[in-house]
Amino acid sequence: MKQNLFIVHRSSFIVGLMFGLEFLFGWALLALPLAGAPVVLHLLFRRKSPVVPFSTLRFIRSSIQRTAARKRIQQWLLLACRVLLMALLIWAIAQPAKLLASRWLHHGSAPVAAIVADNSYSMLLQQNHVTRLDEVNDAIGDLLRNELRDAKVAIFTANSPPTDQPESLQTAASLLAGWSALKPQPNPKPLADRVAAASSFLDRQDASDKWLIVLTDLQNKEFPRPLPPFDGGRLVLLDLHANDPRSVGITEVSLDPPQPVPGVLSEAVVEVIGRAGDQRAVTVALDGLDGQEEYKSAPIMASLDNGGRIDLRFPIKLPNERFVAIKAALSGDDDLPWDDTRTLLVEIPPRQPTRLISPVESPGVRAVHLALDPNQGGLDSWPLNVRTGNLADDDRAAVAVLTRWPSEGDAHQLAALARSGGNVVVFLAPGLEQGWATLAESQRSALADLLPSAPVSGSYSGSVIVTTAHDPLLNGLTDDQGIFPPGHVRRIVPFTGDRSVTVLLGLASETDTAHPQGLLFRKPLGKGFVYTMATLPDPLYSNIATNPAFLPLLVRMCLPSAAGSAGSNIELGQPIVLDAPLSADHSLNLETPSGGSYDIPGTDIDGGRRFNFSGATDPGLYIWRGQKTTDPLAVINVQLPASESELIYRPADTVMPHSDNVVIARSMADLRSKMTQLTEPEPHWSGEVALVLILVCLEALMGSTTGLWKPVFPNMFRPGMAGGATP
Amino acid sequence: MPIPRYRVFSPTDAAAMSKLQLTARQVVEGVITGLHKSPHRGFSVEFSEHREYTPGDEIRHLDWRAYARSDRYYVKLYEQETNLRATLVLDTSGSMKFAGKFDYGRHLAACLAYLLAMQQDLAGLAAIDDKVRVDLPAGSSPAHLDRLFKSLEGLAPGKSTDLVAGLHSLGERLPRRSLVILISDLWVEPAAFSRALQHLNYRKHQCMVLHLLDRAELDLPYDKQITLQDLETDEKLQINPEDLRETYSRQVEEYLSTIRRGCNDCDFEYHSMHVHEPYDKALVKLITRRG
Repeated sequence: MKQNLFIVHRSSFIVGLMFGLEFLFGWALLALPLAGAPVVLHLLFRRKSPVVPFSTLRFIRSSIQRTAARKRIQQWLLLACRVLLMALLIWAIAQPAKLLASRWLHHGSAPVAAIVADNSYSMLLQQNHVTRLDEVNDAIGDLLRNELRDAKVAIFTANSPPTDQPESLQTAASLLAGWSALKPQPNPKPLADRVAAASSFLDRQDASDKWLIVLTDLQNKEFPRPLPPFDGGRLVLLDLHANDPRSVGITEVSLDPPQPVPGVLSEAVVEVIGRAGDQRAVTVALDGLDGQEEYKSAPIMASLDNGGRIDLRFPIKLPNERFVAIKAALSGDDDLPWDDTRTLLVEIPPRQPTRLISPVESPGVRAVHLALDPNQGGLDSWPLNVRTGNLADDDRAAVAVLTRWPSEGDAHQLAALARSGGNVVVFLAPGLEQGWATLAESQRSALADLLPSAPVSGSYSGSVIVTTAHDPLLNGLTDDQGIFPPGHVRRIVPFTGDRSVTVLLGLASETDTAHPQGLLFRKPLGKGFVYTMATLPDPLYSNIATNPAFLPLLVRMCLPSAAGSAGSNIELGQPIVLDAPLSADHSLNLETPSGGSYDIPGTDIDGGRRFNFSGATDPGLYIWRGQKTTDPLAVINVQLPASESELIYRPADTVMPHSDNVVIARSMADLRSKMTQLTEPEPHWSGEVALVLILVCLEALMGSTTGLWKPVFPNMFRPGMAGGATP
Repeated sequence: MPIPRYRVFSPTDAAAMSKLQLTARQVVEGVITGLHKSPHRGFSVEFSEHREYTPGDEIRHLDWRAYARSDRYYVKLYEQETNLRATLVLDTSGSMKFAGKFDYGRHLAACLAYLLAMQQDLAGLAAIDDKVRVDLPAGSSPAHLDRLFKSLEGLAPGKSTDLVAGLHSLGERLPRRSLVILISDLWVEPAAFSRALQHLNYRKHQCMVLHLLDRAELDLPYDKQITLQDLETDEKLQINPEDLRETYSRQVEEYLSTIRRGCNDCDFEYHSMHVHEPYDKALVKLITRRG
């Protein structure tokens, strides 16, 4: 039978309030005047001393003068010690109890409670086939039916409610009537913020008895800082974390290099976390948008290191499909099943229509053409469809090998391609900088949009080096130390570059390696990029045409970046947003993983139209389609929050330090037990008893020193000593 | 000598004393030739030395035999034997009431007077508290001894003491080279007492100090808290003997050392006598010790 936590039967002890303490046997305090007994005895003892005639008091007086001060202090100390001893003895017999008990009592007014329930995904951890969230649901029901049945209660979940529906107080009965078990929710903010919100909510309530009840697993990320003290009432922290969570999860799947190229070997990198030393087999599969499995790797054993982490790399060759889901899965089962699989959606762009523009035929142009399409159009899966001639509307990339400055119109065309999301690669013949000054102002202005800066004069040569480490474009093209394959450039068109330009490769001269001159520049322009190579792959100027990194580098520059992909990956709780050009429909259709379909109206923004959907509740693929087309415009892969897999917990006392108004429990049974202890008077007299024992020892020591404690011998006065007897 | 019955001197006491001889440590000038050697050489019984005759010498002291042998006139010189003039000084202050010291002192004085009379020495008596109560001149006749005993019997302890002033007074009044036998508990200022002794010494008196003490005065042997009452001033002090014993004993010891040093400085005899020891045995021991 469950007992009410907040009501204590006080008839079992007599309450005597003194110095903030209650006493189990308060009547014993009536004996406190007995503490004065040593004083009385002292006075009586003084009066009863017999008068003894003595020959002279001269030496007695001087002896007293010498020892009186010390003896008097000793005597007063002894007297005080005895008085204190008596008082403490009576105090101990009265058995003081901590006043804390009464502070947890129910004072008659209707209590107000705020329950903060952690329903994040980490609470789905199972123990004995019961999840932490199940325990939270049971505990809330239990509290509402018993301890909080007379209270007004507000329930705060991990995710904030909409601003127009804030938490409000309801009676326990009405809450129970409309109660449905909490479901897991993503919580972009830490639970500590929700506790703070609940605390603030209680502060605003006009009640004398306030309860803040927090039900959580105390996951580390939920409590990045200790909770502030809750002074307005009592705080109950139900710590539901598992002692030794048996869980291994996949927290990230990524592609290396991140830019998907069909038919080219890539690596899927799978990050696995869990208990240190655990071993689980991991497989990677490639699924199409229809769910059809295209490829499945052999399992690789993930042996977690001491930190409980490991990265596994799976070689994969992406199929020639637009959307591919790279799905990593753990074999076997554990206590947290939802993180055993994780998916990365990639969009494999269709063959890029690429225009090679060159005013004259030269060895450099031939080298570029060969690098763009080494099969000369003979391989259908080659990601670039290379064409020569003038720029057309359907071109998505352009490579211009310039031996003279282009006209203003050509420059505008190339810039327009970049602004619309295409990529432009410009190769410049050294010596062009000498004619820059002779160009018309309008032509220079048009070219300035494309070039990293205005060219400057100068003669530079040197070895090719990487100037921007870890750039995705160069990923895999350098060795382990980040060094580009050896290449030498004899002459370039020098640029200074402005702030928006990234210098990817540079020239390091033999005499000055600290200040390399820029060789390859990347400049963002609109939605696309302009890459500028400040030389030609011509033996006259450089040997980069034979560099093993030249071909993949040129192909990557022509392919769209992963950031501009129509396939993206987000976590549950984040809004699903699609930015489309103004030419897109005014409303788009969104297909949800559960089979639902929504028409989402677009909102015009600067230079485009934005479609926003914030009602994603399930993980899976959300597919945007146009009103008139069946092909997906974009696909969003919504996944559960990876951080919820990190089952690292904070000790409860670091989240909320122990205090008189705080109870930390590991279960409802533990909570009830602790509340029972708190509402029972706690005898608190061991300190006094210890003091009594110390004082007894002190008294014995001092008494023996002063002689006042010595037993009285019957023969204390020898016959003839007193009164001047005859010898 | 017939022994009358006195309260302070019994026939038993007399029997014990008759065996003793009291000998002053130094030669004291006396009237009757006795056992004590006089520093004044004269013509008496015991030959001392020869001296050449000078006109004016009595010719009856001429040594004719020496004249016959040497044909020169020599006068025979003899060492004159004198008797001792002793004054017994008894302290009758209130402090002497403690532990029966007063009776002890009276008995002691009586015994010593009798002993002196037995060996033909002169014994006087002086009783002093805050002033000189009794002052009997020295004598050795039975009638004098009778008066001395009766005077002792008639004494009663007074209150306060001015023993030092009494000693100074005696020093002036007594004939030169007297023996002063002081019987007292000596609860006086040591410095003043030393000065009194020096005064006696200056007057060529010999002094023997018999210091009467009770064990209780030395080590304060009480076990329980008591109130002590001063027998001279009636002042009361409540004390815990345990607290004071060590300090008190040390101070009394220092005091006794000072008194003893004062006596030694004047080449006077000092004897402490404990009242728990019977006075006759103590007296015998004293005389034996002096040789």
